[in-house]
Amino acid sequence: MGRRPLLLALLLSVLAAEPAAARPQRIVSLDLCTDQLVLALAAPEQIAAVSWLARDCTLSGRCEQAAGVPAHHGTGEELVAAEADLVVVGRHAARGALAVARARGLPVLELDSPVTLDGIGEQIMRLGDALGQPARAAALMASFEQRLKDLPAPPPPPLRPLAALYQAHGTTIGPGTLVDSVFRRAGLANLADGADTAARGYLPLEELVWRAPDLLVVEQEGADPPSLAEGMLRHPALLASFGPARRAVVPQRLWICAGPDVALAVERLVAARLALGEPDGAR
Amino acid sequence: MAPAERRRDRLLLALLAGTVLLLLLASAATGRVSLPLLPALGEIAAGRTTPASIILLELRVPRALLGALVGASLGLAGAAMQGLLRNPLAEPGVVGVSGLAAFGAVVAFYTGLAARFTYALPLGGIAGAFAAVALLYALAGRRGGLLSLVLAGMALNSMAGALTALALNLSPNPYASFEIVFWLMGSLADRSLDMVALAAPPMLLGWLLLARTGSALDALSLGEDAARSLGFDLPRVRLRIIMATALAVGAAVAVTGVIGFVGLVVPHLLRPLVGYRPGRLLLPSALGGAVLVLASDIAIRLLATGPELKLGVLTALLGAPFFFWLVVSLRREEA
Repeated sequence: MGRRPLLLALLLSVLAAEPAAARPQRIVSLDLCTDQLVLALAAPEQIAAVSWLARDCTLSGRCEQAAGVPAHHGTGEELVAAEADLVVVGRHAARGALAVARARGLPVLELDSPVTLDGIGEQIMRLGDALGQPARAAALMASFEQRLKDLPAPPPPPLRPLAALYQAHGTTIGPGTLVDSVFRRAGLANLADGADTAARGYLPLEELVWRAPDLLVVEQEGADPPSLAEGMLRHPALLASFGPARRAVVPQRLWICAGPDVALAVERLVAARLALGEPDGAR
Repeated sequence: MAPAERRRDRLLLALLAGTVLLLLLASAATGRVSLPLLPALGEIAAGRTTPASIILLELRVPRALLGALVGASLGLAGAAMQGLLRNPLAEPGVVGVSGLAAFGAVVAFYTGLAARFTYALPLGGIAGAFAAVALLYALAGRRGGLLSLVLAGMALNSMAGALTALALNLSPNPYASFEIVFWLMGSLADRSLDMVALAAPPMLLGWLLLARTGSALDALSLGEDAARSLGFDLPRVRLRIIMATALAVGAAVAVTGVIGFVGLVVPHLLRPLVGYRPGRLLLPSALGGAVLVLASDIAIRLLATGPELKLGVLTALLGAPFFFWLVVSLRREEA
């Protein structure tokens, strides 16, 4: 009788110890998007390396945080040197390092790229469990969903202003993508949702001016450092067609990866939509 | 010049000029969108801003104008270079003048210089073009066979291409290394009136400088001693032609990238029509160059389903076979 509580206590302590032992201690992330999630969810001492792209502030929202963590360039050598016990990859993982990870039999966690806002929440939870940080994941997901809930509900489809995303070299993003989901949640109709547009289509400047959407969405904020692509965004035809009230800037880094920052993209577009005023109002 | 010759010349010029005007109109009428042209013109005249007026004024007119200006500059430069270097294979694209001009423009643009000082862009192109023409003249201008110029040009082109790629790769902007396609393959797409205003003055200045060199080029075709004995100040003539070529080609490349072979094909096609006299070839080459570039640009837009083909690709597809044929026939002549 006296030994049972002791046995019970031993059993409980063993069970309680299991999750801590299973928590990976040397996580290597091979992909910009998995970098963001790993940096957000894992404790700093758990991270062995993230990709060097995570330090580029135009692409990565957590660039400062990434500066405090070792970075790799996607080579197999660096992966081996990092002594990873978990490798997290996305769709665009560095091929060389991934092959080495599989060859050495390292645990590899593959994350897909959600195209819906709900999918983002699910992925956060899944990764949180794998990293041994379910509490952090729950908190991150809760704040993500709260940001979205705090926004005004989108108007019904007939009242939604028409918006177009104009990227470098005249590309636009169409249906079935994360950008499209963001547009919908922000209450905008996507110009690229045409009969014959693919998920990623070419939108000639002439056509953009001709179809005259209510809102032009661009991804670049400034002209530094200069590029022809950025110069295109200041083309006189665009400036004449879309005054400041009809332009919105959503920096690439907010939606290039399906992560919690996407909520910030939705917020920006909602603000732009509200600034437009009535759908058939002042142009 | 005999009256018959003068009449023939005038007829040729009139035909070419008329074709240029027709192609300018055709270019303004060609594009992705079926634009109602007359209503758009009416809106521009009335000062109203509508999608149609914006497309016509800010997209199509600059494209057509630039096509004519750049084509004329390239054709003229080709004829002038062939006269100066006494080499039928001389052409800004082939011998690396356009390539080095592109490098100059790339440096001016991607270092942010052009953002602070707008004229830095054409000046960069002009500096590159000047360096190239001067270098070529020093390497293969005076003596050497026909092909030594082409070899020097190939070397210069390779170097210019590598330097341009290097400059773009070093730029911190992630788009820069993709933009090499624009600089090396050339395009008139989505150019603006600002770019026309930027490039036109140096180009026109180059044309003006070249306009009076016709008789000097005629004399040079008789040989340097003959030209000197006829009273031409050869160093001054050479410098004038080099500067003019640099101005015209440098400014053109700075806003459109490298468009090759125009200055090769056009003078060759027109040379028999002007009695093989270099001086009489200048103006027809300018007009012919405008015709070729405008026609190619219209063809690109008519053929486009997705993103357009780059203009330099089309002129290369037309010009490279022509170039091969020229080389072969010249070697046969030499042998």
